[in-house]
Amino acid sequence: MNTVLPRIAARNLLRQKKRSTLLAGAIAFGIMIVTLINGFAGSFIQNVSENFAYLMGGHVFISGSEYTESGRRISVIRDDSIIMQALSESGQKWSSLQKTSETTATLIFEGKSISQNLTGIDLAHSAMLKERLALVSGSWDNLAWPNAIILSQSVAKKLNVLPGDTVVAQFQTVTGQNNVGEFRLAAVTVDSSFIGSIMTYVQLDYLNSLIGLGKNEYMSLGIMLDNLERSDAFATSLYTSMKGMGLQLFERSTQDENGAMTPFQAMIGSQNSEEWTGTQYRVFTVDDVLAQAKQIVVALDTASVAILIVLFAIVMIGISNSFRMAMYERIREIGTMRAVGVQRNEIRSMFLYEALFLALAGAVVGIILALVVMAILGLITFDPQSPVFLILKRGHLSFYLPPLRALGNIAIIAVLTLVAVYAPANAAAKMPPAEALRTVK
Amino acid sequence: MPIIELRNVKKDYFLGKVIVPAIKGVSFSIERGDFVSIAGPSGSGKSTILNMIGLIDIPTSGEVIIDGKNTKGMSDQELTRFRHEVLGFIFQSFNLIPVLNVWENIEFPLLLGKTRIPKNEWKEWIDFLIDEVGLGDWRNHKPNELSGGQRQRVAIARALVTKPSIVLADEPTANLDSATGEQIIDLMKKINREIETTFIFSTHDAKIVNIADHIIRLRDGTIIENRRNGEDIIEEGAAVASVEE
Ligand SMILES: Nc1ncnc2c1ncn2[C@@H]1O[C@H](COP(=O)(O)OP(=O)(O)O)[C@@H](O)[C@H]1O
Ligand SMILES: [Mg+2]
Repeated sequence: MNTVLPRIAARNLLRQKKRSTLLAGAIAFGIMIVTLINGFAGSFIQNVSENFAYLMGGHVFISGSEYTESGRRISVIRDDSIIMQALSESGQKWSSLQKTSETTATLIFEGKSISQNLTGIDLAHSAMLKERLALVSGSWDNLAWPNAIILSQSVAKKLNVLPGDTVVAQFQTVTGQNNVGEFRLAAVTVDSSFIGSIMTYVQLDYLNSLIGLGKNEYMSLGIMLDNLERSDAFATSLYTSMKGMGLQLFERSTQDENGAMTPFQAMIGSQNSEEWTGTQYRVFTVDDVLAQAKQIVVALDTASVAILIVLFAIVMIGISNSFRMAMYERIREIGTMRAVGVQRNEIRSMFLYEALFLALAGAVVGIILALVVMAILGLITFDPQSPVFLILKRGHLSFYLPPLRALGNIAIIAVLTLVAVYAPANAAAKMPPAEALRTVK
Repeated sequence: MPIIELRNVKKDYFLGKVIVPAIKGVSFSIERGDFVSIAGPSGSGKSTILNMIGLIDIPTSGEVIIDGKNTKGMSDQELTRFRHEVLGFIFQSFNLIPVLNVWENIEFPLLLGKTRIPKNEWKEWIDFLIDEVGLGDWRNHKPNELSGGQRQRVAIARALVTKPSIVLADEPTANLDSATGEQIIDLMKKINREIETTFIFSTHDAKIVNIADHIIRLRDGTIIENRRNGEDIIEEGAAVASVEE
């Protein structure tokens, strides 16, 4: 291959240092912005899932459903020994398990009331609580109380309760009877914390006894893994293992990568299906729950491509004009080359090479700049209680740039630049040599 | 067989709707190895003639036969290839490629396609040419670091590097002082002797014209004098034949 034309193209680029720097700079800026968006989107789902996993107490979940004698469908796991067996037979590793029951209740204190979702877990042994929540008042020691309740600051304020006070809760048992219980406020959590502001935690055993579940029963089992990425594989192998033990299971139809089917949609769908006897289990992952979050990522990525194109439509006009100017400035060189034996298409290629080098240089610089900016942004420590907590990774912004996306952006820029330069390059190629040589500038 | 033959060549330029007849039907032949001068005042049609011989412009009518090949109807690509194979160019304003140094400028035509010179002889040949034009110490310099005379020497080496049958030089001395101009013409003449390349140069400088073996004098797009080795060539077909005898 003839390398002299690319070589000349590269040197021509360096000839107009100011102009080339400006154009490459514009490309670099655009690529930087887009890369930052992509980098943010790339880690967004990861961070949200990881944080949600803590919120929900697991990466993979098993819930049970059964029908009561009166035909009411309730959520319960009555005997988890077979599940534990399935877990160990699945051959997978997990880091912790969390048994959870839930109910909606109206909390009442001295004439004031508020509706809350009560989450029953083993308060005293939950590492997640101490790790993720910050206390305003009360004490972790109070979690030993059998009827302890943890409220967020805003809820505590509305009810005007203080640690030690007793709150009355009105709710329905799993079978639909009205019931009341008394909870003692053990701790109040900082409100700005995402988890803290929406969650109300109570003791699992106490909640179970109030809503009509037995001592070793609960609604769902959360399985915390050491790695979010393993969620789906774990769930699949757990599903297979449970199926192999003859348990009734809902289809894992939620595996659809596009998030077409969320567990909630699946649940609604299955409501219409036939009833079953005994317990039917559902295995799902935090990713299944967050299928919608994936749509945010898709939206971000789509937006980044739109920005890329709009930004570059502008840059491309500049590039196109510069190359038109360059073509007139070098018209006699072009004539000379044509006289000496350079073909038309080679003149065009020479300009296109120049454009390509410009685009690649700008794009590479842009990506490097973006990585630097990402590293700097990643150094900022956010208040772990800040509202953006959910998108943070241990209190820091984090970015993940999928390599294919970076390459894709470079390709888009390269193509757009080539398109922008094609017309002037073609005009240069079509210029009759005699005319090009006669031109005196 | 003449190396170049023009048969009733006309060239009109179009300035909007106005037709400018630049060459009004000329016929002449040029013999291989000659040192030829196209003379005439500014605007007489010298560049137009050289461009048509050099295949960078095509006649409005008539035929240009180079090295026995009628170039009429050739595509742009064929003309370009033909230029590369048989022609070398020297320009009034040197026209070196500014981003290439002396050595690279001379090498450039070799990189553009098939050449007579085997690749392993390129370096030696380019070095020989650089010495021949006296630029041994300047091989790594860029054109903008050279004087006009030096640039034209590079251009001469570049024009010769593919060992073309014909070298065309359109007013090669017009941008040089007269002493440098004479040196350039002398250099061309010396090379013309040594390697038997046909040289055709145009000039409006009467002093330089007379160095040529063959002088074609133009005025207003017609030939007013056609002398080879001191003899007038009157009717070109018969005249050329008589010269050969
Ligand atoms: N592109 C052109 N358009 C119109 N007229 C032209 C063009 N090029 C040359 N001419 C005219 O053709 C005639 C011959 O020009 P040219 O060959 O350049 O002469 P010379 O090289 O002897 O000065 C002149 O009258 C000139 O004005
Ligand atoms: Mg001229």
